[in-house]
Amino acid sequence: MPANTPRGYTYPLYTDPAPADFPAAMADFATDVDTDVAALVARQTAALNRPSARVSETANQAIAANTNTFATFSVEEYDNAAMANLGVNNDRLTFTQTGVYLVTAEINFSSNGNATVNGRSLLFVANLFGNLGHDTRRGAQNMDTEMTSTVLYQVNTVGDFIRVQVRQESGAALNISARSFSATKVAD
Amino acid sequence: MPLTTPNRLYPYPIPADPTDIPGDMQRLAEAIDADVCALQNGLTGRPVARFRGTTPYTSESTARANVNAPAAPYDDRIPFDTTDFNTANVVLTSTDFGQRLIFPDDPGFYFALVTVNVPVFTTAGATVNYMAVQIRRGDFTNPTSLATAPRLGGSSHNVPVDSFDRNVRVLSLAVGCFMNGTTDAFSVEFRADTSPNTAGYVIGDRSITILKMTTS
Repeated sequence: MPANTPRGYTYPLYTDPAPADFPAAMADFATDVDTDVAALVARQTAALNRPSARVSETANQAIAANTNTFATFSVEEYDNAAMANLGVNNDRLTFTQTGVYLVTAEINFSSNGNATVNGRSLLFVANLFGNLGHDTRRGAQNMDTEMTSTVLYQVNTVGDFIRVQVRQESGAALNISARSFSATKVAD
Repeated sequence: MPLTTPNRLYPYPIPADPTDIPGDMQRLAEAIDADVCALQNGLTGRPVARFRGTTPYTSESTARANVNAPAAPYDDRIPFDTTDFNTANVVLTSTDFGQRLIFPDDPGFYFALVTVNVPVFTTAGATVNYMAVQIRRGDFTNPTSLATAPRLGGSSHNVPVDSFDRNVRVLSLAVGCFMNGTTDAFSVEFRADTSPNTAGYVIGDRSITILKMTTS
């Protein structure tokens, strides 16, 4: 009756029939090591190819004053884990694996010339709760305002998603123009 | 005629082979040994790189139109001169004007973090209206191309740096993006606008840290 090492490699005991079954015992051992090493190679490959996605947009999106609005995206630049499905939901990245993700977004607010400038904000909102991380700053009457924020977000449930919420308080609608949103897994 | 395992091709005998236990064991052991060595050599950690610019750098004149989207954005590339570490096969190009690209030589999805130290503007009588750092995707093989240099991200401020910033504001910006390993290069750009126009804005230390997240 063969035994196994802690990693599952099978080896014969002295009480086993020998040497007639040596080829079978060796095939068993070689196959066990083969399976184990193949799994290690697969893990190594996965570690070097983390789930990652980037979506972007250059078309204007009007943002009404004093109104929380989710930024939308139409260009899927990269996605090796089916996190973006812009045809169904164009405002989010949906996580298809649990783990810790590095999430970053940047938004370009155009100016609207309003003398009332006030603030601009960018906020990450998850499906479960909001304000994962944000950036706020004063806008400008005649200059664009570019904003960025980065967070580490722990995904505990496959299907969780995250969106980018923007807000401006210039007293009138203004556009966000170039913008992007990306996520990459950094830990299991 | 020995067979091999399905994945890693380790050899093992079949009953019809001549009995050669030491030889069969040696061939299997050596095959496993070589394979595990190769596996171990691949366990190098995540490829990363960081470059810094350590000497003051004066940005372009603030007289240009469309300061946040200039006609020749490569004018605004800031130079980096120091390599802190580089396990990601990233090429730091010349600090010459019109070059200043940071080229990942391997394709993959990269995460890049840029910081720029912006001190107080010291030109008397001038007010700073705007300052921004942007990351664009330049063309390593055609660095001064005016064709598509897509903006990957930006961060701006419209308030001058002052003592409330402890006299230095750190503009920071992070992006995640795919770089193709053949032409795509990071271009880090700083630009400012003042009233009246001035010769440029002197910035301090800056850095770009790059993590490679995928192999294709």
